[in-house]
Amino acid sequence: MTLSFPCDLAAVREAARQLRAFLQDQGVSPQELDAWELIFSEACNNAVEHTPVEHANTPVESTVVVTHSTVELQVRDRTPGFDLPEESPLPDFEEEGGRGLFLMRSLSDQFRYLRGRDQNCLIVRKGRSETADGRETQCDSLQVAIMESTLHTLTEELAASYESLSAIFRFTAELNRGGAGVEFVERWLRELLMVATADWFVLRLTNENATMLRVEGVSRGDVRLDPLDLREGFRLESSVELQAAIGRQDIWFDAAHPPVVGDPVALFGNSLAGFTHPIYVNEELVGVLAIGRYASHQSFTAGQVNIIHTFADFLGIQIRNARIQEGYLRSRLVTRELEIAASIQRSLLPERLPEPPGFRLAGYSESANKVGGDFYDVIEIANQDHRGLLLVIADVMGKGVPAAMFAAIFRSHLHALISLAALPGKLMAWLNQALYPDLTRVDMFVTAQLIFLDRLAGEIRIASAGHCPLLIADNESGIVEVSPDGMPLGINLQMEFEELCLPLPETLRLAMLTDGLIEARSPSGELLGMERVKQWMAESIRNREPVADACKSLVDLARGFQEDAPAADDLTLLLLTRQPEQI
Amino acid sequence: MRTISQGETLLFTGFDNLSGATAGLFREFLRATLRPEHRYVEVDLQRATFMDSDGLGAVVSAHKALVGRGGGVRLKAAPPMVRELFRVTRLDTLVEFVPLP
Repeated sequence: MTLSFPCDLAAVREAARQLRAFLQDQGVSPQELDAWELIFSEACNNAVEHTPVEHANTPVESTVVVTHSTVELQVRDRTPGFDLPEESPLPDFEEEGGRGLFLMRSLSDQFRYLRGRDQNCLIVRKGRSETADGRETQCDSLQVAIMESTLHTLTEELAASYESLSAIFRFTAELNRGGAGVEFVERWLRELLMVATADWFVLRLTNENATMLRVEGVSRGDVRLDPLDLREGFRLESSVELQAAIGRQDIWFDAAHPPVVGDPVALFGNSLAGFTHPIYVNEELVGVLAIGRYASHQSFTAGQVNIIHTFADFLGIQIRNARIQEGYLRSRLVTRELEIAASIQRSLLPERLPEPPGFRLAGYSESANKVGGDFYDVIEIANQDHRGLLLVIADVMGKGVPAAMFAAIFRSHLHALISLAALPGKLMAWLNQALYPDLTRVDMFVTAQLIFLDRLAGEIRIASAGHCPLLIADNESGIVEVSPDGMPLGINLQMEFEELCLPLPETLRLAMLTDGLIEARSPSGELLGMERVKQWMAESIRNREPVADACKSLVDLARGFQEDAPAADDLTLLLLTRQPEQI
Repeated sequence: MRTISQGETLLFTGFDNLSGATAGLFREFLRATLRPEHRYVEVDLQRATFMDSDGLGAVVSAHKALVGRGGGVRLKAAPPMVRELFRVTRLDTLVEFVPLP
């Protein structure tokens, strides 16, 4: 029967009456008549209420098809369509709307909503109960009994397979959202207990290097189970779980072959029937499932064994996938973290170094693990009181993102306090106070060196916080190691830093270093050492190397010394040369 | 449909269904004729043969309008279909079912 009626609520009422009359003619039972009238009303009300104005004059169309076993209703609407949610829960008490979907769903067997380009179709189907006059087939009663029994077994098997399949589908959707956590595993196995009519289970999973079988889920809280060691081959006879895992086959136990005393499985009871099943995924042992009943004569049927295998293997795949995912995600996260830190660190280093008349600078920084806490900078100071250059080098003790972050914090504090540049000793003390709380909180410290080249006063002023010595060379004194007193930043809140004062010569070479350079190791374990660096400096001066070349040659020295030994620490340096200005 | 004020009770009667089309009418009547002294809303379902989710919503709105008055919604002579509807949607404790005297 096809109904076509105007798009308004009153017409829906009238059409519902016609539908009811039609169904009654077809012999549909009274309760079902009520149900269909309701379904029809809800569906059509929905269509009417959500049809946009431009289609308000188009009639709503509906078709109902009646067979001896089912009634199917189709309602076509011209609404923009709605997203059919997977479930239609009952709205709260106080809600005035939203019950329509719930009612339609709970009253019907099948409920589908097909969305098309300019119209949609709701299809609702419901089976019919027996009509008043049934018919008896004439059959031999024995034949009937046999048929019924076979049918019964078949349907049981079928139902069981269906159960597993539907459980698998349901859980797969859930997995895509969450992953195989402990809660998932427990629920999955409880479902299995139900479907296979079993009483208890123990699931063990291998640890990371497949040396142990640890309990992942157990159906009873009162049974205490210790991990099983896969390497102890001699304990095989005392554990059906180990036998299954190592022998790679199911091991059965029942009244005739009970688990021996000392077998963890025996803790479940005196009279058990069941088996242990190893879960292998691609030749890799993922775990062992032990499952059974509290009645030693009731072994599992073949169908039930099949289900158990299916459930266990499916679980195995999910667990293994989850583990692989986890490992993959973790390494991706780590890589990503390092990338971020590396870019932080790169952004801290100066792009270009200043070139006041006569002064040339070159710097280099490379971190051992892609991210480090080294930092250097050169800041030109020109105000009414001072004219000069502030050279900074710092080394945050640590690696990775935290070290890079502290290098950034150091830099911002330095710039905040830059008015003290001409007084490196004082500046260092202020930096220490500023950084102390943060450094203490994460148990880190920073070594640093500050040099102010005062062009007005013709002085070099140097302060150091636990940093390795720097090298100064001029025409008269040769190469000198300079190391003012001062502990690293972050050790003591109140700290004073010695400020060394030297005359500023017209010809000058400065080398600010880090531990990573001086302690570069050769493959045989030898350290580069300050002596070799001094030798390099002497040669560099002899060769009149411009600062950029000197920088390169020093880095080459360190790298060459390391050969192919892995770099243990970051390598950072800052070089300065001063020549008398050409006139 | 019409409403009759009987002391503390506002009675709704004269309709054969409470559904999409008539639920809106019900709410309008409720808004227009409910007075402060009304503690009960009685819905006469003697002639009603049909109710759907819109009808349920209308009854819920009547319930909400009476909150704090110490009364509630009474459904008079509700046919089995209506009772079943309230049961399935768990609203059967929201209202009082009153048989015909």
